[in-house]
Amino acid sequence: MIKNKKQKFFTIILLIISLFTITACGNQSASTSQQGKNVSQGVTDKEILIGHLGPQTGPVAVYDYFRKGIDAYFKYVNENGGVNGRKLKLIAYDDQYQPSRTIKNAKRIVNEDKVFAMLGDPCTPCNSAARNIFEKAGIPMVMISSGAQQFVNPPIKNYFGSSILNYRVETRVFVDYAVNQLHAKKIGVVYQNDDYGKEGLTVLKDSKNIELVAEVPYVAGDTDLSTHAEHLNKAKPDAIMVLGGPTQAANLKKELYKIGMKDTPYIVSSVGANDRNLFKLAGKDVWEGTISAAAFPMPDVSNDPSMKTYVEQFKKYYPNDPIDGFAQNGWAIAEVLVEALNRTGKDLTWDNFFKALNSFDNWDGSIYEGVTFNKNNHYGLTTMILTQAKNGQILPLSGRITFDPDTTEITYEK
Amino acid sequence: MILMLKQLGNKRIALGILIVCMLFYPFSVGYSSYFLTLFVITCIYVITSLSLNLLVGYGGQISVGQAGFLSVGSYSVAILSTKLGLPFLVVLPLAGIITALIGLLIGLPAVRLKGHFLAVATLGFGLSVPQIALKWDKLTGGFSGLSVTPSSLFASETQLFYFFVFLTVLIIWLINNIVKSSIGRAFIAIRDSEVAAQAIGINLSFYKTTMFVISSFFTGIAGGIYGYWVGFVSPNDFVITNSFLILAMIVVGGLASIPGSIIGALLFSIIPHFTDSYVGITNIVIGVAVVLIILFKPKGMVSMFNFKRNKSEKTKKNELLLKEEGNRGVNI
Repeated sequence: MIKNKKQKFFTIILLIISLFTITACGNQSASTSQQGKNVSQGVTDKEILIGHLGPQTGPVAVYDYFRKGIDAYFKYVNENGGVNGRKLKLIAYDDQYQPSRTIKNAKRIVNEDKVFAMLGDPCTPCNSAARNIFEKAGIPMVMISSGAQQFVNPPIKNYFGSSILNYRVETRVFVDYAVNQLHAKKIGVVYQNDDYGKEGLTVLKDSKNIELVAEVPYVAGDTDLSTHAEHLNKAKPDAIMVLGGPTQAANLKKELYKIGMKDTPYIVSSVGANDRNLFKLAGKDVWEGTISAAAFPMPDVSNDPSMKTYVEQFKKYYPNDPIDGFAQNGWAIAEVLVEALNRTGKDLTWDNFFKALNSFDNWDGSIYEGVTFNKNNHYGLTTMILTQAKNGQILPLSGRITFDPDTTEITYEK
Repeated sequence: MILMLKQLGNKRIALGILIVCMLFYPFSVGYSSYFLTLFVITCIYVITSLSLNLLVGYGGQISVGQAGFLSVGSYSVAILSTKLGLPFLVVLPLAGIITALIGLLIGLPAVRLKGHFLAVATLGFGLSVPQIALKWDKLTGGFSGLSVTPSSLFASETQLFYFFVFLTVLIIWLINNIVKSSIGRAFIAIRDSEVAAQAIGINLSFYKTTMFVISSFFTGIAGGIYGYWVGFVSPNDFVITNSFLILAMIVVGGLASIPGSIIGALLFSIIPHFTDSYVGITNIVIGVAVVLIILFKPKGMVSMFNFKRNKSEKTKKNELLLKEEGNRGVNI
């Protein structure tokens, strides 16, 4: 209780003093790593800070495997001496797939932690929300985990590539394959009714060499796709495309199997097909023959030395986690980042780093089949392979397929 | 420290400290954009938890869909500012009014619903708003969200910050006055006993809908502040977990208490700052905090500060009298 004016005065004085103390603390943390060398923020002689924002908890915590993959590779690099003598340090915050949290943490990671670059942030809406902040800051955004068009085309100066195949590029390759290899004209499509499914749908609608005979949407979270199968059955397409998640792709194929549509080629977007678990979900016979695309072959059939290191090291650091799935992408993008850092050399500035990234010409030193960047192409992953499900494995169906964003030409490597 | 806590019990001093802190805040953090954002997000939750406390704490009407109102408010701002190009000073109040209209629609059926049923109805509302935002592509931009045209009124982030802080203080003052007015007394009467309230001439349906309208109006403004500050709205911004978090804020802070809602909102906005850098513990820490406070301080954190200490002798006497009368009533 305050009885007299003296005490009141005392409290206010106390308050002001404490405020100034806070101010002093705030200023101290603002000035680090200014050693006169030609480097950008987040770089010291001993360390490079790299940021990552993604859901670590909540309903879509599965995307945390990106972080685990990145973390495993950083540990591996640090054990082998780091990058040009500098150790990599990952700063990651949980945004629970909520843009309102991403925004807060985006400012924190750029202005307070002062990281050098951001690596592999998942969540398309979070990325759209934070785009303004990151674009203004000019901080390198390396391989974000969204296949949406807006981050790569038209190219943004500081946004480089995506860790998963661009939804539109992938669908273009599917169309090309369906028309030229499968000789299909009538296509039936089942798509997830959101930005992910719709990006691919745009491509299908724009393709003049095919006829879309069925467009059947489903809502993310639907599991019963029997009516969708009936729709497809009525339209009698030459090939079926699914732009959706694994559960839906498996269930739809089961339903198609039931009503006798066993032989129509079944093409599924990479997000919904690159998992051996699908043989269990759909049934071994049912899933057999499913065609999809991938940025790299599955770990069990890959000959890539990079993939072998990944399997060894990831098991070492995260023994309880599966090696299939997004951790591979996390590892791969970390490889891309480290390669770019190596190419930049000692003078680690943002501009030098951008130049180094733009020198990637179908670089295949990572798990990825190839990574390409140049001034007009910020897609990154324009090289992929087609895959087919066979005998419980997901095997490569083609050689490398390269999409050229300038000419929209698709070339197959034999 | 104990002395300081005791002194916080004095409402005027507490308020003074709060306002001075707010004014000096940008300086003390070196105009850091992150800390300003942290503060504004806290302000948004302060307003929202106050409006929810009006419903739950003072009015006894359980609502589990407050995040839905926040979404409506932020989308109103995005649509009005970007698609119609209306100016800031028109858009922000309009966001409140639109949300209040939605609140009226929710409040009308709520007149007939009580307790669990009302909770489920509002839960449904909270769940459906993000879904509607997803599906109503043409208006809301669906999954890709909508950007908000920034206001030209404010030259810098700091100016906008001060405006929002001022607005928050204004709303706290307004809600404080509403609670003390005849409307507030009617709310409390309804909470304590609907039959008794009706007997003394309180129009139940009118006051219940009014409660929803007032609560959603302020929440809509909070949503508007979010829209303007962040500059982008999407269906994932305010989902059902946010509704539960806001409910937890007022329970932890203190039901039917204005300082309680502020303390709760502060606590739950600041916890993530310290926990976000450790993998996956934010929700655990919040959960543990809720359990501990409900176990040891069932009346909320506000009971630690004892805000009622400086009551005048007169009111104390009156209370005693009231108590005696109440006891007599029970005896008869």
